Amino acid sequence: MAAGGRGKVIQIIGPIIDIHFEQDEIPEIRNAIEIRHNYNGVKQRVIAEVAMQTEGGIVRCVSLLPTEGLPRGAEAVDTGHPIMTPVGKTVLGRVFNPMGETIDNGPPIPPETERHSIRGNPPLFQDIDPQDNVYETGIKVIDLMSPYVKGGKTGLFGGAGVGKTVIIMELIHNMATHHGGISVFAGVGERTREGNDLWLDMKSSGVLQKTSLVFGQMGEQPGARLITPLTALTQAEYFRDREHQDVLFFMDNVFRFVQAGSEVSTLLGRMPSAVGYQPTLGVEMGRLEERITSTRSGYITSIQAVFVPADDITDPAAAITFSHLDASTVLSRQIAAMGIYPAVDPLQSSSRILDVSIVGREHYQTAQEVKRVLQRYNELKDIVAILGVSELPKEDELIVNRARKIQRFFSQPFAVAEQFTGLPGRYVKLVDTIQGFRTILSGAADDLPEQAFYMAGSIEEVREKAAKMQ
Amino acid sequence: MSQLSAIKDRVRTITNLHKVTKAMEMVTRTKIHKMRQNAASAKDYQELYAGLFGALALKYVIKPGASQETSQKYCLAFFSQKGFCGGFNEKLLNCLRAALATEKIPPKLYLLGRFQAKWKHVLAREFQHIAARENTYREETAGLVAEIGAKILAGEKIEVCFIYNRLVSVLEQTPLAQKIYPPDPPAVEKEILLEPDVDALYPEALKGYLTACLAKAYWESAAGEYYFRLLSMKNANDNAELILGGLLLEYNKTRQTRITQELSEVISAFDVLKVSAEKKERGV
Repeated sequence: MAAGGRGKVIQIIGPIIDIHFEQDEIPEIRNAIEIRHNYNGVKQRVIAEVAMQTEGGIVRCVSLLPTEGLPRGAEAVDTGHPIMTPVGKTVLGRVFNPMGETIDNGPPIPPETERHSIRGNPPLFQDIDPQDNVYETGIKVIDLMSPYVKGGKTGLFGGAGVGKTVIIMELIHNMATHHGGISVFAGVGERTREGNDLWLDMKSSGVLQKTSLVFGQMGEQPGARLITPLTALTQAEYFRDREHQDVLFFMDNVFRFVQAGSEVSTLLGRMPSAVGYQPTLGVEMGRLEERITSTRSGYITSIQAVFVPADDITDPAAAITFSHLDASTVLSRQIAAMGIYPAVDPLQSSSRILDVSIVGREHYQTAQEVKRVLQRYNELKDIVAILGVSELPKEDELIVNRARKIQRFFSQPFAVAEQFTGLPGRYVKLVDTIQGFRTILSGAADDLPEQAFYMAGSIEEVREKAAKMQ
Repeated sequence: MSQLSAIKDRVRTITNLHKVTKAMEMVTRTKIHKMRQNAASAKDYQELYAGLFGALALKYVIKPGASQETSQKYCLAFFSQKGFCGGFNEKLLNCLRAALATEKIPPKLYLLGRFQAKWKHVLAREFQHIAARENTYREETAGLVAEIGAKILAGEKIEVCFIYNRLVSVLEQTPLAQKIYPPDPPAVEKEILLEPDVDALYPEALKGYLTACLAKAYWESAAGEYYFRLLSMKNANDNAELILGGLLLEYNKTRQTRITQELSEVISAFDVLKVSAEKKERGV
């Protein structure tokens, strides 16, 4: 339908607005609807997105802005198109809200700037170009156990307060600064303060000029949080498709996107599915994740933080995200409780490219051997808890000692966590990482005290620490 | 479901371990009385014999021409026969290493007990191993005792040292490096009458003395091993019960959470169906 169709608000339930349109003016699904009204003498504007069309010319919309003070009978205008976001070079260095408006008090985006609908389609099957290159992150445990794919999708899974955001910030610090290309960050339903910190941090490090930030944080309406990733993604897609660039796409947090979907789903009248999630969970995630992909024209390398409710990795929201990813890094509460940060669980984390033909024999074998040692240690843990280490045979005792060293060696001081640890951050090259773990596995580090491995960078640093201790 | 089965697996492992430690504790309890008796009688016998031998040794004149410098040292360490005895072997090992560290000439090292293979890499030196089972240890060590005896009688100045866990009480065994030969002179010199003479008696007495010392060290160490085992098995049982309790609680909690969730899902779905059916009826 053409733009300019006018309707009347007939029902408002939280963020869900029912609007009645005349039969020939009914807006299309996903069209943006604008409602203007007065609240306490102040002019207010509400943007809503058409989500459902019901009988009798009633469209059910999801509001992206607060609906406080919105009266029934208010006039709603169909904009004739979905939510649009500015794309191209002008978005770099700017901060946006999900509706594509700047929120950084900067100069307005020029009106002639190209704008794209955020409801794009995934690239065609034949255009997808899967990548097999390792993306070095400088974080030992990630580089060794779940190497990230250049042009691939990576998830950081973890329960509340195990350090997902810190890791993603460190990755931004390590990758975006070394990357040199364009980065897009989508802040979905997380702390507003963190968004501000990130902005200030990027500004001071000079990365901001190559970055676009889109925030729909926890204070926003569920509708807004639901489209934040799409807005950011639309900007990333432009750089990939039009400018043929390699884009880094960070998202914190995918679960909040699912949660926002779940919040509106019930209000839209859909029957909840397993564990109370929306019945459309699969398709919503699919539409989003399928768009984050590398094509022949350019790469999108994405890092997504995924909150795991109640530390249950089998939760539908976490489980459905898993299946879309090339590499997944799982954070564990037990490891965080031991004070080992990053609290990555090396046994649960995985990567598609941890393969001899891609990462090379040395890396692959080291990772497998580390896995084997840690697995054996896990098996022995109960025996050790009951009988003590001294009851183990010599070989197992060695395994336990090495596994404990490996566990500690997985910890690493972060540049972004300097104020917590008091230690300057370490970027460890992949070769040094492999060399370090090989040293432990070969037994050459058996004489070094366990504590020296904690919060160290390379194995040389461990040796220095050990020498200082003695 | 994966979480539940993982907990179940752990419960099974720990239950099995618990069975082993429980059985071990029971076996130890039944044997411990006999061990204590053996240790007590060996100790009494050795004390008597040591007094006698000390007095005898004073009278025995070493052959002229014998060397004055200690030519050889023998070290016997008494390890455990089986595992599952906590820090018994570690304590002894530390004591042994400390004793060996002070030696200038490397002593001839003998490790008794079947549970010694683990220390090879720690000691990193040559040693001979004697299994020394409870019922055959005398025969197994007879050759060694004879060798030492012959060397002493031949006039060689040698030293014999036993390293074992001395039995202080049920809860306390202290590792000890004890010099057996040459014997310390007795505090009070006793008047003894020798028949026929010291030269005829000395070789027999020497053998008896070495055997008695060996028996004392052996049985004290053996009793200590049992006490250690009893204690560590008791601790292991306590630990296992503690872990099992925690795991069972976790298992039931997880199970209950699942049930509650499924129930609430079924009920809410049913309610939604009811509402939509009502709406349909009303023609909304």
